[in-house]
Amino acid sequence: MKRIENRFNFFRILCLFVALLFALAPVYWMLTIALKTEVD
Amino acid sequence: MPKSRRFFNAPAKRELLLPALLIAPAMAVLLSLSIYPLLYSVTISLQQETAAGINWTFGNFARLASDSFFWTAMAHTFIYAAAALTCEFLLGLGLALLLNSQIRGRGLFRASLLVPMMLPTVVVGVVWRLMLNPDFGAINGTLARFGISTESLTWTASPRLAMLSVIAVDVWQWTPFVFLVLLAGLQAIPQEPYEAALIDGSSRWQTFRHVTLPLLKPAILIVLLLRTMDLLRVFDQIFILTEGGPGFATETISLYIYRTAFRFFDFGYAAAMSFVLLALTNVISVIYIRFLSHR
Repeated sequence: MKRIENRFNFFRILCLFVALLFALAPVYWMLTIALKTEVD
Repeated sequence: MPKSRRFFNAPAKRELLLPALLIAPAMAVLLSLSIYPLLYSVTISLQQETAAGINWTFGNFARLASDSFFWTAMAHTFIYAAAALTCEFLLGLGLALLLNSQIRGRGLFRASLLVPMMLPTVVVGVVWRLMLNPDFGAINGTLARFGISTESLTWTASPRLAMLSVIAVDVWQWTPFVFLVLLAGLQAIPQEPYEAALIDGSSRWQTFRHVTLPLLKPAILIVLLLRTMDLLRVFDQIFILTEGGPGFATETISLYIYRTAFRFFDFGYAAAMSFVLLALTNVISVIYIRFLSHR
């Protein structure tokens, strides 16, 4: 039972990290292009 | 003295004068900015210009039936709304259920997931337009790095993928809102029904189906109602991402209304379409309320 519970918690954390990645990746990309300037 | 007379005597009038004066500016603003434009749009939707002058007619509404652009835009609106709402609801509910427990870093997860919702729609549109660019965009760049061929993935430039792209952007921006409302609904559910379900030996799924979902109904109703209304009148995001294109592949009803009013200057017809959209939104809202408040 404890093993199933641990596996479920791992799955939950994994899902949350994937969601976090999808939510923040475009924001990160937006910040990187906002902070970049082209020089000769 | 009769009661009505007493009410309109001098001291009573003076008592009424101050509240009336205080309300007057707000009423004036409301009348000039909301009521007058609404009445004006009703009048222009019922008018048609002919060589003999202006006619009062239902012609603008009758014209809708034979306008293929209108029906195509209507179909696009419904496809867009249904697909985005389904994805947002399922993802939002899933995330709310995942975060509705005591896990480490819950506050950080919750705050971070809300970031897309806090960004202005214009910013989201511009950023995603750049990200979906087939030549230098981040999406194709990332896929190419994993060895995936991106030649046919032209996203907003492809009639086949453009609708998918605009739906994905809306899902990205507004899933956090659905998640937030549903999480608030989940946290308002008392612990006792869960304890009773546990004693009765119900499984996780049975508890979710017969305890969580029925008690979450008010929050589901609110979130579906607000998102449906927003999705049916979407304009800014699609306008920035594709301007309704390529061709008319992503032209929703709001974009068609905009095109009719400000490109062809046919304000009467655009107003008639706006009223049809308003009526449809109302009908859908009533159906939701009836369906979800039914016990």
